[in-house]
Amino acid sequence: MSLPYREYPMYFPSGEEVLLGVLTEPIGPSSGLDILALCGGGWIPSFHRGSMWVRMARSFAGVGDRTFRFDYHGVGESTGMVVFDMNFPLVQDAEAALSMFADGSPEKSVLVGTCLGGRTAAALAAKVSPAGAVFLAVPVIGAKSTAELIKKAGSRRVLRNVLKSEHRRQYRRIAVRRIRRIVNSVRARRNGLVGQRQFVDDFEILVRKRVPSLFVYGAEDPEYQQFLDASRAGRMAKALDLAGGNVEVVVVPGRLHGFGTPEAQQHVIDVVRTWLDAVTFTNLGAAQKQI
Amino acid sequence: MRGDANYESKATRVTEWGTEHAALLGEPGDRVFAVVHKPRVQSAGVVLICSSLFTDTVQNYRRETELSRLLAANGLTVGRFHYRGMGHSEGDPLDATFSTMVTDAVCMIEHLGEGGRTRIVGLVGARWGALVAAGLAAQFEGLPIAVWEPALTGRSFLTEALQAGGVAHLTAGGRGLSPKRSLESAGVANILGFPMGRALYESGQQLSLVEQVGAGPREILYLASERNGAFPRSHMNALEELRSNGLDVTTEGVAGPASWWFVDDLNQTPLDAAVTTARWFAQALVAR
Repeated sequence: MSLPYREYPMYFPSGEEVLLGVLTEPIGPSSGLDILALCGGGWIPSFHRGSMWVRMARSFAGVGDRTFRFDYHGVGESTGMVVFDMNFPLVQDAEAALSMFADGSPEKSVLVGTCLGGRTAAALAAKVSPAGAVFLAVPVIGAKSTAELIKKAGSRRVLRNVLKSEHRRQYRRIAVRRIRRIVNSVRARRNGLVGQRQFVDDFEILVRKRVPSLFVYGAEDPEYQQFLDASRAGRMAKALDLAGGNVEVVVVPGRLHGFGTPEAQQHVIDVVRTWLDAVTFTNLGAAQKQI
Repeated sequence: MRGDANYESKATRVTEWGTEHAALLGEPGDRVFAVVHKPRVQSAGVVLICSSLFTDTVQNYRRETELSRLLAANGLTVGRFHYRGMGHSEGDPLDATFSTMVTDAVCMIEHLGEGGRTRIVGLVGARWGALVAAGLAAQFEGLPIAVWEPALTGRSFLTEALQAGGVAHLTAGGRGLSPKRSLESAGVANILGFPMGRALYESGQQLSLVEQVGAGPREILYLASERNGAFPRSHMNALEELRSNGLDVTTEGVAGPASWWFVDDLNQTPLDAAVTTARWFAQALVAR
């Protein structure tokens, strides 16, 4: 049987850990474009739900793109332990994957990430200037900072509610979650990972660098409502305004987050393909796409 | 980095206990993704791990990876693989059936033999994977088998899968066909983002763990999560049947997830199933 791709599993280092990735390469002419596919933080190995990344990689090889998917440290075949936190994108792993796969030429690469993978794509894109970035159901608003929360916890309303038994359980749950986040933050810094970041910090850098970006949401995703709210005012709105035509937002029917239906998974593959075919990647330079 | 030879050299990593090698095995279009863990010392035999399906793969992946590393550190060669049509493997998921999964496992054992006869010393299967491991065990007289929270029948597991898919379908607004209706009319059901074809559904209807394992003598490690300090009635009944069939069953209660179908952070932490299983295999081999 003749297939349009070749596939190679490969191990590579990321800090003290060893990660496993799978490279999918076209057998036919290359487009010159490399896609780095990043999973979210839901423990799913790099094939993604319903093998979504596998299907994407194999179909993209048919038009000449190379794709690399990998397991974050602590996930799937990779070594280590991981704690997922939306404010701590797994940049070290993604950067290790990119430098191993893209021959040290990140400008030929498009970073595609779902949820936490989208946060990771943004943080990495801010650092390395890729050809483009795709954010799938990415939450653009992170959790509040610890200082903001301490201030809120000291408010009269919260203190009054803590005394009521019906609210106590809920506050206890919030407190546990916050403490866990602070512990993650300390751990992350100790492990040399990138510090706590908000999506907008990275997105502003992308806009300044003129990196073409695509946001994809399901109309019913809570993250889409967040995105709409953020794009009306404040830093995110300013950044989107400044980006102009360099940023595209696509909204598909239903729910995308979680990629729990074959329709959602296929939407992702189709929308990303259409965008890749339509956009001009200025960063590609000499290696300009030739589809 | 480009170049086949360079790529292939990266498919193996040296660990403190031996090596890990990842590969796509077989003919193009039908290749099976496999990982083989080899000990540094002369291997005492091969253990094959048969994984489960759908979200179970996510729930159990780390436990199976950790178990492989523990067993390799104890001097065993361990093989793991993705069924055809699933994970990184090639093939159409709608073609998968119980038989194709057992065939994939047999191919994996042949691969582990590297041309010679494989000295298989054990099988491990979690949930649906327990049925696959049991189906395979029937071909190897007396081969020890470890099962984790086993699916007692194919029908119960697949019905649960449809129910979990149904819950997700309703939560998402209930538009379109439910997984059950979709399976009936279109021949495919969406189980939380993973496809289940009619062929698989039908192939599982008559499967029973007790019947697959057959009669003894055989050692079985039976790990399941306890409720209020005891196994659920269904597991107790299965254990009674296995023992009455002459099997030497060791039971162990382990921390399991609150739900196998809906993944959360907490579900990833308990690795005690892996530790208990590695210890059991080590003791079983010493006893031989």
